[in-house]
Amino acid sequence: MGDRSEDTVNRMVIGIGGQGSFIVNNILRMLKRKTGKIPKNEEFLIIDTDQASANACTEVEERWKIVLSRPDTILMKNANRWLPDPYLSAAGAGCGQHRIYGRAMYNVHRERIFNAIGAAASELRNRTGGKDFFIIMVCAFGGGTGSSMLLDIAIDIRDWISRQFGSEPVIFGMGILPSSKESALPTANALGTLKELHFLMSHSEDIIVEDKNYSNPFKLFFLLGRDLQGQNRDEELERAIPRFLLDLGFLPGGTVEMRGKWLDLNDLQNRARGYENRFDSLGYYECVFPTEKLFLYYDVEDEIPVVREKLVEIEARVAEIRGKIESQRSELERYSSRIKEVQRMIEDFESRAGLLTYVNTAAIEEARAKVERARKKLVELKETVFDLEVRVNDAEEEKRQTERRLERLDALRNKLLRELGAPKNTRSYHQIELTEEEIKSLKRSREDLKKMSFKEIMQHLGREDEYFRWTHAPINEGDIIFNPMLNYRHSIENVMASQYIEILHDYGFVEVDAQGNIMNEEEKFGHFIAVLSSRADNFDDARLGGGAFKSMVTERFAKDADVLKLDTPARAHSFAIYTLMIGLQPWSPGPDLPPRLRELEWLEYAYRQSDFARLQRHHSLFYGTSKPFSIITGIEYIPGAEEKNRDAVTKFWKNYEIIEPEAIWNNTPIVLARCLKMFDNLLSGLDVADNLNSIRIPDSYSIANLTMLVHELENAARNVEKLKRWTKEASRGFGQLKSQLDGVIARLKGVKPPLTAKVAKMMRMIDDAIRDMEILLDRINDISKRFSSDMNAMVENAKTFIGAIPSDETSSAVIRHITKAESELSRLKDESVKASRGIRDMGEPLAAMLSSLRELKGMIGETEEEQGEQPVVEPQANIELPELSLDMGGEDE
Amino acid sequence: MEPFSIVILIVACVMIVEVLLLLVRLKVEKVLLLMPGAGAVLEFVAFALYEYRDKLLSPVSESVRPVIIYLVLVAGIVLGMISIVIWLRGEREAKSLISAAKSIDGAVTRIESEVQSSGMEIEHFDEEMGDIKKKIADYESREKEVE
Repeated sequence: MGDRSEDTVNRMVIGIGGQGSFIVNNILRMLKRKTGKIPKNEEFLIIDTDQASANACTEVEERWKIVLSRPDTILMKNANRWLPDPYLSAAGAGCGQHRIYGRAMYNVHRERIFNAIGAAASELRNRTGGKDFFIIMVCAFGGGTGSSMLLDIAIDIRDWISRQFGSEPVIFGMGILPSSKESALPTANALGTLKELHFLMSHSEDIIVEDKNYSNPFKLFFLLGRDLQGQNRDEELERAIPRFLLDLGFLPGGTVEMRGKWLDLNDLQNRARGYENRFDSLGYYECVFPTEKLFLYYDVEDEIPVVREKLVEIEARVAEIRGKIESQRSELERYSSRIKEVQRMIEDFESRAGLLTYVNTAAIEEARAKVERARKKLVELKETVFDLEVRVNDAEEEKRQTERRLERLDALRNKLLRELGAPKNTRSYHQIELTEEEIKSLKRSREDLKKMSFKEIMQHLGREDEYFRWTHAPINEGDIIFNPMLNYRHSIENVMASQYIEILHDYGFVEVDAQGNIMNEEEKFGHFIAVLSSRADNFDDARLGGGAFKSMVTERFAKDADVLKLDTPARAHSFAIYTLMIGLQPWSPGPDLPPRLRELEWLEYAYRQSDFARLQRHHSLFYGTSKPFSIITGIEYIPGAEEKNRDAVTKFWKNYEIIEPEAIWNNTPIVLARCLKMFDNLLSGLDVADNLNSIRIPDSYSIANLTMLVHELENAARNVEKLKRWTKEASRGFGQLKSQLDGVIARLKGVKPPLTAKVAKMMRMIDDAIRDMEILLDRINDISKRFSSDMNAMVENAKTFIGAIPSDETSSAVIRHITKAESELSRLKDESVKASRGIRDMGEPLAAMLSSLRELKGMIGETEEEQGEQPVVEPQANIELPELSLDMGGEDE
Repeated sequence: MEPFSIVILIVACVMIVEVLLLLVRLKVEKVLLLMPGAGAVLEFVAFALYEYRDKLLSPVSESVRPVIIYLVLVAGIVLGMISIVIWLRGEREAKSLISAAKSIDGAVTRIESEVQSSGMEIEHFDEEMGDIKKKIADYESREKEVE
């Protein structure tokens, strides 16, 4: 990748849909602006269903704009028998954000799309002679066109190029996820697209049905979010994608010429190997010294007085011209009447006749001609003067506009000054702040600034430490890892209460390092690559500490990590850090926990808003291709029954979960940790309940004893009421836990089991949970029986005490106390019956849970037995296996 | 021939020359030629009367004869002179008309050139302001690039 002249890899960038096309146009604009030409091995295509949107992509060659027009409904129906009538036409522009319509459009225009893409591919092949293809496909997941056609186009291109040129193309995908503020339709579309993409990505082996290979066409698929941490970052995204592709040389001929080899497509593919079925993301961080902004500020600052002076001069001259025009106009008026006068004189002179007159006809003709010429000129001049006056007015208006522009220039200077002094820095972009004194002082050494490196400038300003803090320290401190262009939680500790983490730690599912950070192998994403891009003299190897960073990343976040330095001579005044995160796990780490990919929260919410009939508008893949669908999913189809087949596809997508089957096993310890935690809480609660009846009844009457008894009864009644509420909440909580457990069990059926070591840990957890539960059930049984009778006994004792109060002691205050005590006793009696029932009722979900736990244990036991027969298992797992098997056997008996 | 006759003939010739001049050179209208023509005729009449006074003026007394001859001669000269005066007056008026027309034409031409130079100046300002506009737009687009 370092030597561009030898690059014979044909590169195609294809933008599908409005946003995809816009991004491709952006890439092309940036490429043209910096280099002025497109390398011969690159072609940029867009595919869109909206003419206006395609027209806006002015950088893309017209012949590579594939604009698909809407066919009439008859043609649409003929080409897509399966398409429901409401979707035969689309509202709004393009596909009207209906993915199902997008698929129908693809079927209609498939030949056209392939003729264009094929032509581009063949042209590239002829131009370079190379048969290797690298294709980047970009689209938004929320729209109707890009999201619906992406998968089919990717599959078809892969197959076509493979057949045509004998070499499978490397395809990278880029998908833009909608923001949380977008409406339900695009948001739900994105989940539909993600489901289909995930399904396709999870098929790595060839599945050829009807001459189409339904295996994953993408080597890497980057997901990017439009809103990050609640803020819209479209601009950042627009800047980051082209820079990422161009700066890192995915599209050579970009903005930065690099020295040496950093990471070529083969390296990248090797690193992505094993994670093709997972999503990826990009991260981008840049620290810049604002040289260009500073130079612009200087230029603007110098220009303003020049322009102002010129405008003043123009103003004076225009005023002078206006004065002249005024006098010229009055002169013209005067000459106009003079002409009339002379004409009259000529006429008089001419009309003279008789013996005593002499008229010089030639002279009259001459005078008349002159006057006539003057008159004509005067008429023309009047018009010219009028025009001139208009032009002077225009010039004055123009001058006013120029003055306003000058004000804008003035505002621009102020804005630049503000931005230089207080830039709007984000997590991914840091511009060095400059004081006014620094700006002034740097103006003097303006020319030297161009040659100096970022580091030298900062040294010159005496701010070297700050330079390292913003360029080298982010790597040391690992900040960049938290900065993907996606809302992705790298660690479970962000979403899970520490108490559960403690339990998981106790059972060996997670480890905690010296700083208290969670380390969990299951959670780590695949590969992390950080590329530091700057001019060589901006790096200080001693301060980079890449090794420490790598080990921190591999300990906590990724299975593998690399920090690569890229010498980019053009980046004299900036220090960019690009990150690639390969093999993300978007699903939630456990039931009822938020997903790691936060976008899934709002995507799923929007998706759930659609009923079954409306759900089909969010899907595309397999509509109208029932046979491949049936072969791949194993779901039956009825030839010709388009509606039923379509519903079967919709149902399949509705139930499809974006999760790897193996990852469902990772949910199990979390649910079990919850069980254990809840059992602990329940036991503590029952202990409290057990002590509620221990009210001290006084032996003898005194007003103090009576008052104390009333207080105790009040407290007891309150506590019993609280206990009643608590039992209700606990029953509900256990109900939820039970459904979570059942959910996990249902999802685990037919799923390939995890490693034995993990099974052993889970068995230990289940055993503990079952033991706890049995204890709990006994306790509940015991307490529910005793609670009511103990309370009754206490109530009777209290009544006896009250009944024994001497009648001569019954003052009004005593009577009030007695009345209060009696009412509390009655309340206590009622509430205790309800609380006792509540305690007893808790037993039901617990008993159900116990059977679920036993079922789970049974499943894990089977797994363990199956794995016992497998020759390859981890050595430590064998040690625990017999013991667990024995335990399991005991339970079964 | 007597000297007086020669003088009369000369006067008559002058009158003819005047007629010819007016006719050929100055191309006056024919009406104006009537008077010098008549003057020339009168001069010839005066010549004839003088030469043949004895025959032609025999009925009148000798003392009246020269009076008649002189009267005819002077009448001829007066007619010639009047036509010259008329011509001169006409010419003067014509010249004044031409000069008035010329002065108007000149003034209009001057204004025209002034207007043209103002127009060019305005054009120049437009260009200058266009340059300023372009420069400012350049700065603004550069600002977008450095954002």
